[in-house]
Amino acid sequence: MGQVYAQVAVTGKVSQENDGSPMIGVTVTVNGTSIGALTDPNGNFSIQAPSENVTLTFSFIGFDKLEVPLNGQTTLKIFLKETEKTMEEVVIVGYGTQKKSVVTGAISSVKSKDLEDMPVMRVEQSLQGRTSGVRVTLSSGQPGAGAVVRIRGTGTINNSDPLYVVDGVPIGGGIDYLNQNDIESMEVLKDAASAAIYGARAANGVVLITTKSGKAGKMKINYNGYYGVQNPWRKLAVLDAREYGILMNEAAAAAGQNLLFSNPDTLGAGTDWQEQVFYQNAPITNHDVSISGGTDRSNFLASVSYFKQDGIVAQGKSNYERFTVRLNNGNQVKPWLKFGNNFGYTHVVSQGVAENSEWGSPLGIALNIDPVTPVYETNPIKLAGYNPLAVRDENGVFAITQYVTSEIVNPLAKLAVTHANGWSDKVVGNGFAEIRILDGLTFRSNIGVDLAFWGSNSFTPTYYLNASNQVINNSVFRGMNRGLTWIWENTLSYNKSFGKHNLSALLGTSAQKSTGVVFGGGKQDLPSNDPSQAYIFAATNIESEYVYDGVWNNTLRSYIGRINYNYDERFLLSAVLRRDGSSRFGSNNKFGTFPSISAGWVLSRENFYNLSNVMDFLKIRASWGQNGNENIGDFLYESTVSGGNNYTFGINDQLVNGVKPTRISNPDLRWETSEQTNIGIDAVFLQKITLTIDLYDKRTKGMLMTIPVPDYVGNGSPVGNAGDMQNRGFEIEAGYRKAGGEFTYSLSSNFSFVQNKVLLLGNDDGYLSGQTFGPQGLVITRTQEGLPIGYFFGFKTDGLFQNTNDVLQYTNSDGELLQPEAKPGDMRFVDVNGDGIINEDDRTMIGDPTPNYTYGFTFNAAYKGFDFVVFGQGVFGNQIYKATRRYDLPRANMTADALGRWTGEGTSTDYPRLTLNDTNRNFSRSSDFYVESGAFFRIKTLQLGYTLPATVTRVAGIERARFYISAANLLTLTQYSGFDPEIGASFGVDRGIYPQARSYSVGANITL
Amino acid sequence: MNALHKLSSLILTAGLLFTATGCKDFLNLQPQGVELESNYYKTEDQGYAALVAVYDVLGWDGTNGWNMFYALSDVASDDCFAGGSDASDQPTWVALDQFTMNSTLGPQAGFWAKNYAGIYRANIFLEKIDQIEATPVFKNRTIAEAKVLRAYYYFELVRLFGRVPLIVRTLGADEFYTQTQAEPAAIYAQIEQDLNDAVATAELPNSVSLNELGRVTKGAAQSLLARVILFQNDQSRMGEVAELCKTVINAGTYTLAADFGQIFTTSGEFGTESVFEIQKSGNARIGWDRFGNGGEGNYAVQFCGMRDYAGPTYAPGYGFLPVSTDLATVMQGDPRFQYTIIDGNALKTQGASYAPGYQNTDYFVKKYAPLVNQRATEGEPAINWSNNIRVIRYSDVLLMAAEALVRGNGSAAEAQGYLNQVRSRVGLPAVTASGNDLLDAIYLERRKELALEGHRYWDLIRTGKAATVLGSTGFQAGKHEYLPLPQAELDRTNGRLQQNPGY
Repeated sequence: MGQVYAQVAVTGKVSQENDGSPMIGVTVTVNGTSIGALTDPNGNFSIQAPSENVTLTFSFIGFDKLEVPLNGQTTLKIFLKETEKTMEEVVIVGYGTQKKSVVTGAISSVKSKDLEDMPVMRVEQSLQGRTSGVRVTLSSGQPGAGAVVRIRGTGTINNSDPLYVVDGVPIGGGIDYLNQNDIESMEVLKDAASAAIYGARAANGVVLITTKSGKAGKMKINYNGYYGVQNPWRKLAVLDAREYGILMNEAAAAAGQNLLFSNPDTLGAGTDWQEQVFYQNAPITNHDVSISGGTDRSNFLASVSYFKQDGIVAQGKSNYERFTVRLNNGNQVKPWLKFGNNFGYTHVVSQGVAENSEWGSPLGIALNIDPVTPVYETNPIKLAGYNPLAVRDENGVFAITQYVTSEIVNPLAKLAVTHANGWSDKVVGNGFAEIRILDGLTFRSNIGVDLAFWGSNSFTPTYYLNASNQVINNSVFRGMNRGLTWIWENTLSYNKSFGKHNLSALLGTSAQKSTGVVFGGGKQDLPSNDPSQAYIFAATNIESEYVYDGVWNNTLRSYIGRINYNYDERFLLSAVLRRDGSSRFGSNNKFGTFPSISAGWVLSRENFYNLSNVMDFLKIRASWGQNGNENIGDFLYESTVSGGNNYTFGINDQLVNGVKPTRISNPDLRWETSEQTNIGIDAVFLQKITLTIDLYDKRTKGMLMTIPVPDYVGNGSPVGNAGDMQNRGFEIEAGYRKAGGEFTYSLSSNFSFVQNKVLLLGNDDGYLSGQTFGPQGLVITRTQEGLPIGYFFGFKTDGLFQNTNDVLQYTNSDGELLQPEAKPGDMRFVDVNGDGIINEDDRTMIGDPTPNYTYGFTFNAAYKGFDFVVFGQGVFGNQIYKATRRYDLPRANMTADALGRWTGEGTSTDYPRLTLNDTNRNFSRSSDFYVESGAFFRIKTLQLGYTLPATVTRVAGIERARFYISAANLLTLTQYSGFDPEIGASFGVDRGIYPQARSYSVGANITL
Repeated sequence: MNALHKLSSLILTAGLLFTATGCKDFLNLQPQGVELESNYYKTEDQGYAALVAVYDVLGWDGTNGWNMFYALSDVASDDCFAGGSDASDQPTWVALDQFTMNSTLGPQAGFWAKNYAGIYRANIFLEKIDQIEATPVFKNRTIAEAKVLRAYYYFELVRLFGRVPLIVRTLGADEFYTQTQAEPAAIYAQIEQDLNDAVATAELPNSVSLNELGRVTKGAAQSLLARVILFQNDQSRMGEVAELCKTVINAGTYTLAADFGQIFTTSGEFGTESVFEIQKSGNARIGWDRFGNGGEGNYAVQFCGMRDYAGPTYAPGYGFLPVSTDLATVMQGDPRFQYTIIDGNALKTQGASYAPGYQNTDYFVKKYAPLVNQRATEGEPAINWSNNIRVIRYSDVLLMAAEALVRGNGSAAEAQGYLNQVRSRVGLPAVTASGNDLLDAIYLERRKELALEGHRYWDLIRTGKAATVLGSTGFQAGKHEYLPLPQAELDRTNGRLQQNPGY
């Protein structure tokens, strides 16, 4: 009897393991047969199996293949898991993609799954602590404040920002226009070979950003939102009124002056100015909604987002609001034609206060103003003497300090008369068409635009803050600017395998043009001091009216070539050549050529490799290449004349325009070249541990700087390629992932070391003077050959003179007193150059603002519905110059460490005596007294989330519902005594920095 | 591959070719809103603008810091101290006041750069004027002006530094680092040649219209030449000085202002005795961002004001240039005292107050004092004061004439006459002395008449009295007649320039 051929109908549903969403197009096959089926848009399938004991295989690209023995079941619920073999990941490499296992350069990447649900203020922060070799510092904690991104150190004394390319469009003016949840991946091209494809703009590294696109499958609606409150994480202890009175009296007495306060004990605590300036529980909120989906032919993603943040300083005067829209789509129009476009619009409105300044920033004032002065003046006798323009609000007249002068005015009064805001509208979009000409041969044309409008408005009412800060005529200013960059790129790529030979080649051209206009004007004498009525047309003083404008334009044309070859994914070779022509350079050097070559060897694919039981994958690689930096301003090579060299003639002081050649020209001007060698290892152990190590040496040659000519030449120095800089370092990225089971966790970490050295400055001084502090222009930083960029510069101190004998014994070899003017309690300065006198020549390196070491880690864990993330980041090997007290204002308040000042023999060895007549220049010299360690470690994010069981939420039609609580900057470990060790834009000089906030937020992620 | 597919490929491949080869000028952009040097210097307007740029440098008060020539001249003299909040306020001022300059400390870098900038602009003007299409009147007059200005700048340089590179044309790139210093005699010869050329130019007017006030006149060129020759202190050339001064006097262009008190008021600017003024104005309305060489304001006015002053008439200043008790004593009883010096103690009795600064004497500069009703209302007031700098006054010319006559064995009566014109204007009795007594009387009159206008120090230097008078404040003969050359300039020229003796 023949066997009965019994058909069994098996049905079921296939979903994604991570979020339970149904999967369309999954291939279902019966093992050992040719029977197969595909899932429908709801993930359902039905198949006729030959028996109840066969095994079904479910497969889908990008997901682990799953084999399921039926064992008598006829209804199945299948969950597929995304493939996690890291070396199978694909990375974006610029004009293409590459399998990570065959990459030969140094590329770090951050994927959307690392970024999702992580509240950050700026997109750049997503790179912070997550990628090795990339140092990201927000320039301050102010909402909307820029981020300083340095890839493998500071590459040049000029613009060291990396090139940002979003969906193939190079972006100017930063990337804070992006909504983080729109980002699919961020790739950082670190070594010269990876970046060489961007030629003359790649010297500072390249950040490639790809925005999300819809995925084939069910349509999805995603909502992400959070609300949080922010607070300063630290207040500085400063002298209270009583302590201030005592110390000022002491300082006055030491200088032989009259005491300032007859009885300091009656002054009490006085005003806590920091409390007045900080804004407690400042809100921060973000909402975004995206709709995405697609079929096998088309996909789309649309999103809107809204972000608003109030700053923790200066309530109502420091905030940022952003609205974004995104529309992305891609279509397989014909089997041979793909077409797509990405479009983003962003609107930003912001208000800001000075973030890191000794010239009257809110926090700078709060540290310097005396605590004796009240917020409001209530004494009628004093009020009677007030200038009628003294500032008031509904609670009264702001008090004017009689102790501290210059810019140190009542901070609330100053904020009350500060009216300024900025805005921007930005559109970034691109459209592309891709044609498959032959099998493996594809032509792609991509057109992108970056169109930005931005501007600012400000209004200065009449006011009187103190004798040197008063405005008698109110005024209004408005500026509007526009910039447009378009780029058109055409590439022809060829991918083909011949047996074990895999070849891909790229040829392309690119043309890019940037143009822009700035325009603005202002006028004085408005009829009212109401900022809402501040319009130029309302102002009446015709004499005061002014306008300015300016335009810019530059172009870049490029030719691109790249060949990637590998044999059996074992021997890897890549070569890139890019030739860039730039309008920024003179005819002698219009074009530059940027070559690179890299190679790799995947040892784990060799027959002799016998470590596969512990190390699944091992690759060694090396690269060399040259990149350029053309970001140097336009037309510097041309000899132009410029006006504004004016003089006044005539009885009416008529201002007459004078014209002269702008500067001495240099037709030989060219790009800066950065040459970099990189060697690296990629390894995977036990399928769980990933490790990447890179070592590099990067030299920037021909840094653009003004070549100092003698002043007797009589005109501005020409710009030339004069300096060299070196950055050397190593980077380690390591990860561990425990998957499977109910409890899963992973750890990813990175560690970087970089050492910066200026090799050559093209002037005879061998140094460039850097930042200054205070009205006397005290130089506190320098950039010098053989030393790191922007190092702290000043005197070394060797404790304090404890008694007269100490002063008398501090002599040079001839027995002369080194500090004849010094008194006990004064600083002992070191005769660094040993010439027997203490003078400016003894200033030396007293600190380095650039951290040698940066590190970060992320730990993720999940158990049932709960998930947990902790993300920490830190730096060490750097110092901070604490320039928070105005040394030129002897009666400025001090931090509480002044209580430990020298008051007699043995009372202090580091904090000098106080005197209003600082003849030893204890405080008015730049010295190591002001320098502190800048090391810190910070828990940037700590988050606990819970995802409701899908069984519960689906009842309500919700695929996924996750709620979380999150804390930012929860913990900071640092020895630094200022507001914040994260000091971004100012090369480590703290002038009362606007600190990062500590915030707590609650959020939700909902998928429908 | 179907036909459409082929067509599309063709079109797009053409696009590829276009971006690769199209439009040759794509990379050759022209700057917009700026003129190329090669297109400029064509018209009379452009020539005038180039001349204005030469004048511009006269007004630079902030080259490399607070470097105001007349004010710092007084700081160096026995008429003023440095002042400020304390000794660390402006170390370069204190160094000059106390003659503790070294190659990196002092006002030298600013003066050096400023004057060479002016010289460069004069040089390029004189090179370009030929190619400009303009009338001979315009050309000859402006050439004369540029030469006077070049002479002015070199005169500041030679007095401040002695031996400096003598550059009378713009330098080519191969000459930037190769210049050497010329002897003072050669520099004076160049200055005199420029001034003589100007004086000989018929198109250089004796006086200018109201809307040209501030431009160089023939009288200014002659008077400056007289000052230049007098400064060289060559006894044999006193006749030349006297002749030049007398030419100015006899031209009748200038008369002494009837009221001395009016000279330094706003209405006294370009008055009847004004021979040459540096025009200052707040009209550029600059803010701190353009501190330095931008703007047209007189920085020294803010500087000499009383610190934290509260009271009538004056605006608060920075407390620099405290007037020495020595000058106050010399001027005591002189009718010009009240127009020259502010007596702080007297002000205090009227209820005013101010913070005593460094080296406070309670005497302050009056001639250029910040007046509250002249405080700029637009821009940053501190750097927009409009007080013109009186570079050459007619009384100075009269006193130079008197001095030259006495020293050149000319007519004593004539010399007395000139001196007594200056004295009688303020109601002082005539001097009848002769010989050295007359010379001393002239020098004393110079000190009082021209006090706090930046002349005293140079008078001490040229007459060789500096070491005697200023010795107590640190002046060493053979060293402090000149400033040190800026160290940065020595470094940039890699040893080709030689430092002045003693530094």
